[in-house]
Amino acid sequence: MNTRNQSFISKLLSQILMIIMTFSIIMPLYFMFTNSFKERHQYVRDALSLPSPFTLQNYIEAFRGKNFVEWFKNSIILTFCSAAVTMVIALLAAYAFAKLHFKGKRLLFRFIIPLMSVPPVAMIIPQFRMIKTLGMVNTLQSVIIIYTGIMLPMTIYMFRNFLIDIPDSLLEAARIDGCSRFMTLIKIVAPLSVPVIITSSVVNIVWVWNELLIALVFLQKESLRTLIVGITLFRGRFTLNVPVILAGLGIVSIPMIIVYIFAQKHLVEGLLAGSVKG
Amino acid sequence: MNKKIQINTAYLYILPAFLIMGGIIVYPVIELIIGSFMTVTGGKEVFAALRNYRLAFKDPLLWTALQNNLKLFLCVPVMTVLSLVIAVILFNRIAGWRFYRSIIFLPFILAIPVVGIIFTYILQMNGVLNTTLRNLGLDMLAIDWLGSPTLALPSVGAVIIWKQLGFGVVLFLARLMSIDISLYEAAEVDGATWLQKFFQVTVPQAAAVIEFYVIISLIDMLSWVFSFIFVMTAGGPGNRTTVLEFLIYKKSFGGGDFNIAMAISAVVLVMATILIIIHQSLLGRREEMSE
Repeated sequence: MNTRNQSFISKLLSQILMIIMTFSIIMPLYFMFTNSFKERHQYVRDALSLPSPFTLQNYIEAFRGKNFVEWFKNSIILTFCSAAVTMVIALLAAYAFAKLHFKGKRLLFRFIIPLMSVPPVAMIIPQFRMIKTLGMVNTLQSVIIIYTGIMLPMTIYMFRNFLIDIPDSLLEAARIDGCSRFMTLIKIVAPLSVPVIITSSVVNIVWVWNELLIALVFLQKESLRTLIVGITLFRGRFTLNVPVILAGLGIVSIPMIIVYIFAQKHLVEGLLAGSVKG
Repeated sequence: MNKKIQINTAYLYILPAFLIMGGIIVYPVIELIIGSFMTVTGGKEVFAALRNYRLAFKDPLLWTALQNNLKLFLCVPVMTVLSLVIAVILFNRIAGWRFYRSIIFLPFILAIPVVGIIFTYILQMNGVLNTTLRNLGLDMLAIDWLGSPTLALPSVGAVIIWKQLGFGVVLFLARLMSIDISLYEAAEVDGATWLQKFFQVTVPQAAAVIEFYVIISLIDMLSWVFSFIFVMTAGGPGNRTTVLEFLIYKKSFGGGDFNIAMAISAVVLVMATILIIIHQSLLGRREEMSE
């Protein structure tokens, strides 16, 4: 009886704590979404109620905002290209680290691990100078290369740990069938790696989409800004019209929330896989 | 003959990755270290020994920024304890645990600027939080959270915790799920209470993950909070929330001395490296112990 009471109390306390937590996480999101559908005067009067009347005007206005569509396009290009380039290059390297034999393999692989923890702020000034020397400031390509470089160590690490478990017998069978090393990678290894490719791409996509510092420093032309940088700077100019800004934030967040809904498992797995390093 | 060809092609596979990582990470780090000992005179870069470090450390702003980073370190114990408690609760499979797990991870996928801007509106003088407090009759608690010299940094810290907590929960939960159940059963046979099980089984079993989490969170607080500061306070009020990263950004892209900014960056790099070395040596000791 006593232990049953105890377990009831601990369950009750647990639920209370979880409900408080859920509430404190949902509240700011509720604030963002409900107010983004309100007329401005209703937001000013009461920021906590549900929108009445319900309006899409803020979203329309956000999209009409200067360059908003371009920012959106830039974010999509950067996210897609960086994730794709990273995937291809990491797969090549991980294949070599997992399945090929060469001198210095272990040493080179161990060298990759500390690269994951270099603070971005420690690299940005030299990167900026380098990109400037190359005459590539204000190009999407330069940012794609930087993002790729930063994502590669983690991605290679994850791919390699996955590929190493592919049985060698499969690769040998392909060789006997006359597949070259490269064809084995394309025909056997890549299809088997789809789960880890999805997992790491989801992590990379979320990271690039949300990145601020590099995009801010390297893309200074208004028409080249990403959605995140655009919205961060745009706030200054429209401070009074909060619902429009909240609509903009909603537009930035919705793609990632969709990714989260459909790929939550992959995202969590990917982040965990990267964290067992060492 | 065949073997020789194999060696050559293997290097070709890793070449693109190493070229890019070399150019984007390794070369900048080397440049940074060299640049931190140089200075520009007459349009030429010349060796300046410790000039930049001397000037950087003479600037009281550097010490303010460093202090603010160290204050943000206080978020780490809060995050660690909170996420461990939440992970244990979820691990006990309370009703709705999957739902709670999805919710707590949600902030982690939102962009920092998005989170920062939302909280700026919530926390400002006439924001939702203060309106609510006033409606509850708690007028004296209605403060300009981000504008107050004493509360700005703790407020930013709270937002960082809000955003980052989910990662710790998911990390710890994954570890708890892989703990051998027989350990808990043995403890139960011995009549251990919930709390005893927590301290005698859960914490020791999860120790390696906890250590890892503490270290990476410290690195985050040192070198990954720029976006929060940039969006929410821009270092203010009166530099009360200026952190090292923000100082570096201001010095390098706000028309300051690049080389001094590089010296400060090198300090951040050294601090992060020390944290990584501590982590590695803890890991090494653990492995020795288990052998």
